[in-house]
Amino acid sequence: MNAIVSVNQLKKSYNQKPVVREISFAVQKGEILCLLGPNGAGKSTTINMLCGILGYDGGEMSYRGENISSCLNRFKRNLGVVPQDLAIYEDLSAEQNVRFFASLYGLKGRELEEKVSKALDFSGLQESRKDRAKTFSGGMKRRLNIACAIAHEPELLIMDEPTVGIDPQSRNHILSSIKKLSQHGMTILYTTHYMEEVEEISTRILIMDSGTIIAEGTKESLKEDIFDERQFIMEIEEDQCLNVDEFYKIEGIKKVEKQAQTLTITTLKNIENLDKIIALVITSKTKIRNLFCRTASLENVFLRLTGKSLRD
Amino acid sequence: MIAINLRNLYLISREDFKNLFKNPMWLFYNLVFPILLIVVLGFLQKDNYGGAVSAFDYYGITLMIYTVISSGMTSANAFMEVTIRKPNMRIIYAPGNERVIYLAKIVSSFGFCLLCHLTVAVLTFTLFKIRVDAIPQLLILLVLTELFSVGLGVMFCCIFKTEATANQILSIVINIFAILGGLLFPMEGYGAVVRSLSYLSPAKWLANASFAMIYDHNFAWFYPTVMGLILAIIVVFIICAKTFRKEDCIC
Repeated sequence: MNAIVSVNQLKKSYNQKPVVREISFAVQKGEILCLLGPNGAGKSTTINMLCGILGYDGGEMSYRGENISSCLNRFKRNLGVVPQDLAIYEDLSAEQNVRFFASLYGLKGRELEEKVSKALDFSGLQESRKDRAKTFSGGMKRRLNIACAIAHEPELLIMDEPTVGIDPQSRNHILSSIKKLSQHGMTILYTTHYMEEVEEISTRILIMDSGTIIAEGTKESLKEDIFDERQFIMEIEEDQCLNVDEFYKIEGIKKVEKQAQTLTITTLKNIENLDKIIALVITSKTKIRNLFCRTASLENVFLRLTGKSLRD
Repeated sequence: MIAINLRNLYLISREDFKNLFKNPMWLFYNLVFPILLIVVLGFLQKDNYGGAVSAFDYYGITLMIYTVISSGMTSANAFMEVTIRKPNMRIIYAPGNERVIYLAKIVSSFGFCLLCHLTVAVLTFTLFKIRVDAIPQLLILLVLTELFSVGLGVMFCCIFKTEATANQILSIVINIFAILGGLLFPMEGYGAVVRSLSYLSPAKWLANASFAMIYDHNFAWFYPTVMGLILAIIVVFIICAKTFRKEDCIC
């Protein structure tokens, strides 16, 4: 793999209280790495240390194999950051904001104007480019926050909860933009506590809680690794002939619940027994109206790993 | 590296300078308020002054000094006002030295306040026929005091980390300077202790130097005042460098 950024044994404390505890991870080229965790997990602190805005107490960070502190300006030139707060000048227009922040990366003249226009286009703000940011809706300001971070076309884009407090339409726009940026080859490190966003955009996930990384993998592998069960849910025509105890004779069955017209069967994931389950239902002269399989969600994964819900 | 820092310092200062001109509150505070102060106190006190020095002659000079030493309020706002503080984060993310953030605030506030206060001086001195002399020396004092004051505002922000706390403490310090320096009313009649204490205030040195140059063509106060200001500016810049932490720019 081709790591752009590697973090090794990174730690940080505030007033002797550890907030990041010796975490290690790598951001691979082209991926959308989601840092998922509840508020206070240490995500923003990790991001701020990576961006150079916060010092750290121990560990090391490297950019393309070289210690970040020894190539800080080269790293910063290739880094775009979308902070959690709106880091824009409210009194400037969208275009002036993007132009100003892009110019800090050494862009000027025609190249600057082209990249400003491209970033505004990408963020869907071209038509409002002359309007002052303070007249924008929350979603537009968020998009401008992103435009300011991508105008200099960074190799790595770090986004710290960029969709907090915005309407679903703007959220969808931002999420689809992130996927487009990834398709164009940009590497993205994305922090959030919204499970649905991670499900939608991530190529790999780091789950963080209480300053440590508690799990790492793709969404599929996390679900596979953490859960060895799946559930079949059948909507049936109620029939007194159906004997629930019969299901326990089938290999892999762990739990069977029958409530009104719904039959919920929990079974080991690695045992193929659906045909036997269906056969038993049919021989019991029960009609199956609907059948679906429920697999674990990331919320379940988080709950299993930490014993608490992500939004606790 | 130096080129990046200089370019970013120029770009950020220019933007901050424009932002200050777009803020009606700071335009009023630096442009209109000093004129109102001079007009009101000049008229109220005109019967208490006479002869060679009119109330406008006295308050024209002292209230200009008061206005200039208050410039720190503007720089503190330009540095850490919440809507400015957030974009500061992006400047830290960009290549170059993060110290350009506070240096740019000093540069932009200095330029803004100097322009405003020169305008005030030209307008009031012309309208109210305030006596001035030794103009080049007065301009040197104005420039140095302006730089000291804006540096002081930024220094308080670096120490106290928020604009609100910095401005609260700064306004107390400025008013102590002003009262001790006799800017609002003469302190000569308050005894030897107060008179000795008054020399702790840069305002006292500035007022003495200005009046001595205007009325007596005496430059004895000018050189020590200039030296004191240069020393104070160096100290303020050193404290800024020692106390500025980029972490404080996180909102």
